[in-house]
Amino acid sequence: MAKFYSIAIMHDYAFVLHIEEKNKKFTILETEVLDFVQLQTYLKNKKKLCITVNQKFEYSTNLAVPLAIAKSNNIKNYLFYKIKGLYPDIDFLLNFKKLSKQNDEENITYNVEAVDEKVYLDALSFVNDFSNIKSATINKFALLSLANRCIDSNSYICVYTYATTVLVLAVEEKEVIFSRSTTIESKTHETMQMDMAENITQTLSYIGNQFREIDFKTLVLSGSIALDDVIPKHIMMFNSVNISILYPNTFIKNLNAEESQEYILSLGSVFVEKNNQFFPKIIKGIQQFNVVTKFFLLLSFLFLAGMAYFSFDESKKYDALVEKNEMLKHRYLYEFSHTKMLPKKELEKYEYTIYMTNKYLDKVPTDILIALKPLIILDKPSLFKYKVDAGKVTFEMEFEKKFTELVTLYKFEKEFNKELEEITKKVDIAKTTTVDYKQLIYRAQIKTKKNKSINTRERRRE
Amino acid sequence: MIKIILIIVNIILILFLYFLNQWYENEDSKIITINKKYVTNTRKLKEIGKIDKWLVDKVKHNLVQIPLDSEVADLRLIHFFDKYAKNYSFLVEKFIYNDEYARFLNIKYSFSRKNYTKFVNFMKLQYKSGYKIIDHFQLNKSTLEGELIVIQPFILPKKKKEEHIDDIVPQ
Repeated sequence: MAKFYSIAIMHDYAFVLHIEEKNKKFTILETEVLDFVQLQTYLKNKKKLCITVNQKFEYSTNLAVPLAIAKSNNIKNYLFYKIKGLYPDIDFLLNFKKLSKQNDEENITYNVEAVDEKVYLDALSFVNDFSNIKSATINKFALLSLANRCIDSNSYICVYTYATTVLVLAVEEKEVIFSRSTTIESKTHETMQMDMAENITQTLSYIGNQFREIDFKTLVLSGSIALDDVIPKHIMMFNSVNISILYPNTFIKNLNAEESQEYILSLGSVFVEKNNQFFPKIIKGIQQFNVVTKFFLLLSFLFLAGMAYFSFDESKKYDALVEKNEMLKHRYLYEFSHTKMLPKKELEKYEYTIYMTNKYLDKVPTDILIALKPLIILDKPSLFKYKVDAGKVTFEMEFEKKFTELVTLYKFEKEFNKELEEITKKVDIAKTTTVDYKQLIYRAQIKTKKNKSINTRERRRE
Repeated sequence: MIKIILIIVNIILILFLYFLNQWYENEDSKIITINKKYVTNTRKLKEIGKIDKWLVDKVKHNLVQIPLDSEVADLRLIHFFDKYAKNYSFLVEKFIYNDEYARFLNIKYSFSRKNYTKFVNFMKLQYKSGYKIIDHFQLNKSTLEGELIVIQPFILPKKKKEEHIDDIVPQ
């Protein structure tokens, strides 16, 4: 849904429509006919303007462009300098269209429509902010655009009159092939009607002669002539064409038949195609600037949204970290207050004691004695000696046990040997066992292997 | 004009948010460092707690009083010798000598192995001011003989001044 203003300037009057578009249907919200001088004030703070203005100087011609010139910009420059050659003092705004029917082997013919840029810009001076202009054209294209939307015929002639102005368009395949705008000066209303009818008839006759191959079957009337009975009758007397009234009732709501004729050009300006619009450089510049600022504004909002999202994310992360920090701090302080730390002097005593223990008690072969304990429990050794020399332990044990029964000897031998095997796994020792079955004596000798005294420190580390 | 003002305001806000993010990132890294320190220190405190508990439970009863005077240290060794000399036939093997952290007395011992109580008492014998280690031990059919080293912890006064305990304790 979009609302906009459509303005047509004719004879120092502005015909203003406030229109709402919804699903390609147009509803007229407000109509105004204003003096041109009031228009600027009226349009203050109003945006989206479709404008059509009357131009005394409208240059329309067909020009041939050599085939070698292909690029659109080059063609435009070529056409511009051709026209400039004819009117060196005027700066033109021009639109051009390729005429497919009139091509030859070396040239392509273009229809050129030009207006005086300075005069055209003056006509648009009532606009407060050029960036508000949605479309801008001259009256004949406004009329053409509306007629094309309403008339099905392939070729037709469209006549628009307002006050003393007569605008005649010959249209083929939706393009203007001839246009004439004249001002009738008459003293009375009756003579005005007759002069107007005569002027139109003459123009129709000229068009008929000029474009003999085209059969213009329909004459479309609009503006004040559409509400007049006399002029159409006179026209019909001299021309055998079907007369139609331009009345856009199918897609425009809230505007009756009579009113619509008054605002025909205003309505037409709504439907003007891009290639029929005239935009001076300054307006284009402003519009481009507007587009660029819109783009940057959008971009800045996107960046802002992105940065806001990241900031939000960062703040959440920061909050989480602060929360974790508080938790860890409390845990640390709790641990700090609940840990009984020994005073430094006392700690030094502990350290010294541990050091001394490691340094000197390391020589005590406690673990060897523990390892040998199962054998000592089985039988008291007849000899047990050990020596610590530079941290290395050498030891020697002898067992001699006499039995009265062979079974006891047998059981002892088994058990002793089993324990001995276990010890051998832990301690690197040399062992000799002998059993005298005649005397029933069990003998065992265990000692440190030669040249392999046991390093107590190393063994403990294992 | 409004659009340009909005763009400028947006740019200012974007810059503000950018610097805010930078500030957040800096603060985050600071807090992360502090948090790591808290975690490490808490772990250290727990370890300290465990070690201190272990020291009190397992080591405290082994703490010995280190004499400040060498004469006191020597007398302690001599008193120990005299106290048990008769019982275990002590003979001085090597009279008091020292290293950096202790003073030593080597004693030869010898007694009959038949008296089991005496043997047990000898094995249980403690030097409460320091340490006793059986350097040589020879048990034969009738006698038990060997060599004891009695160790009296004592730090030379010079060492005390020059070195901290960290220097003498292997790391």
